[in-house]
Amino acid sequence: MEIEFQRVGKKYESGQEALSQVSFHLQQGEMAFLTGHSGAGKSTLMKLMMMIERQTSGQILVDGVDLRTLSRRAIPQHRRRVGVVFQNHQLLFDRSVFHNVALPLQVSGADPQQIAKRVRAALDKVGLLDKEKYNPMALSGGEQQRVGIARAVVNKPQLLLADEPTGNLDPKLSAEIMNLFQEFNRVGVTVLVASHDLALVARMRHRVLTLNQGRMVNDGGFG
Amino acid sequence: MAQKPNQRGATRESIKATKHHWPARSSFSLGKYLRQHQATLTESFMRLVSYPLSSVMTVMVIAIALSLPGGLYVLLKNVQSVTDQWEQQSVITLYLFPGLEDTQALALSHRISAQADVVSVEYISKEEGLRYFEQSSGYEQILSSLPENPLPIVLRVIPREVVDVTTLPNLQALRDQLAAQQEVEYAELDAQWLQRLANILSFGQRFSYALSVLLVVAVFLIVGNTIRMAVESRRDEVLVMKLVGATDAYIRRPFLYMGFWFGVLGGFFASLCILLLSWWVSTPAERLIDSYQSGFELQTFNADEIVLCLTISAFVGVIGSWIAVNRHIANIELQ
Repeated sequence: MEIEFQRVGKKYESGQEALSQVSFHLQQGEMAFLTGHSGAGKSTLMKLMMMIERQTSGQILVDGVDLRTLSRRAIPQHRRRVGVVFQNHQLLFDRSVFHNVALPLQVSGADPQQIAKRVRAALDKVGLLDKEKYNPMALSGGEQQRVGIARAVVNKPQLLLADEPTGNLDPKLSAEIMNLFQEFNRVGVTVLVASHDLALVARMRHRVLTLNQGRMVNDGGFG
Repeated sequence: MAQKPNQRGATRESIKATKHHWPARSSFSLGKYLRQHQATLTESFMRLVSYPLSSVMTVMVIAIALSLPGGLYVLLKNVQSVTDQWEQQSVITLYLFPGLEDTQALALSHRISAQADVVSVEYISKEEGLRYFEQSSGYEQILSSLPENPLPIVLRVIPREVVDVTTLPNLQALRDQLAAQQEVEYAELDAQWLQRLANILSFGQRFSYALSVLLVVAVFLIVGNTIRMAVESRRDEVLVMKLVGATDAYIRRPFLYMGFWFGVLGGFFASLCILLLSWWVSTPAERLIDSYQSGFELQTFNADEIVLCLTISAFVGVIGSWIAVNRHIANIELQ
């Protein structure tokens, strides 16, 4: 999936300006990091891509389609093409790991056999195939994050967004998680990871977008 | 379940295969649609079962609210059937003008008895009337002290039709026709009790309609409130579903089915209550009615009415939850 931001601004009703004049272009199959202090606008930028928020100025093109032209009813279809991983993993603790990962497929109406196959493939990918029957509550922080990743990729999204996916994890687990994203990127998924872990980002040697007080201050380099 | 090693590769292949284009919009298939609905139907029922106490309470409140108008309906149905079956010989009493000669009265009597809708006419002269009155009233002293007989000539007309609910309008028309005769001062149809009963019945019907409307509204509110709490308790789930691309219809569906189950179960227990209640009162009720009319059998909810009750309650459940869900799902937005 190809993403293009053209002078995008987001001003909240409170008057706070979360983003202003943000422009960048993420190629199909590219992997990039988004860094900046907390409050710099990283999460807002992710929310605009998910259509959780709408920009107040500028254009966001996804595969050439202006997101402003999508109606409210088209939002679910858009979100099915994007996988998201959040720091607070947003897992549901009233069901097993398997059913957490299955959710995006159930939502899009896949048939049960297909669901079982794809869920196990995704769990296998993150190394949790043997934990499918567990309740996510019984898993460690790193494992929970990987369940979140499995859920994000089970639908074979073309864009993978991760907002501070390694926030609570130790360096070794963080590196593992980042390697997973790299693997997905290698099979053609566009990946954007928001992280304030500059050392880790630098090691990954990918494009780095840096936000400061809602403005894009650096695009390129390795941080 | 053991995983075959080649599935990992298969996933990669499929990711590669779809990487350059948007996935085809999932095409509509009836089989898929029905399967999803069937799954949600079962799932929402299991969810009710997994919170037995609150589910049972909600269902019982709905059942009680529905069994009140249902019971009233059965009561009215029985009263209606009793009045429908009630037959009694009808009599129209004509009081003629006091100054009328016997010959004129007799001529009228003959004319009336010749009518097709009249069986016979009994002629009661002033003297006969007086004698009858003296015997039955015990006012001989007062009557004998009067200078002349104050009673009019009376004709007792026996119409061909007996009095029941269906013939009442005809008999009333006959009475009016007889009352219009110039010799007749006043005509009375001895069926006031039936008219009164019919009035009470229509009053009861209106009363039960009003009560039904109120209680159905109550069921709406009960279902709405229960569903609102269910949505609230599944807030996280709703948020995650929105995040992974669930449509509002998909999110709404389990709650609509939950409302459906509340409605169906409420209707079922309401029907059960009514059947039990009818059975409980049937013996004394039949004994009571039998003393007036033989062969009375208490009517209860029949199969059609049970189906109707279930349909109405299921409908109310779904609509009630629809309203609640729409309002509350819109309030739950990703942030």
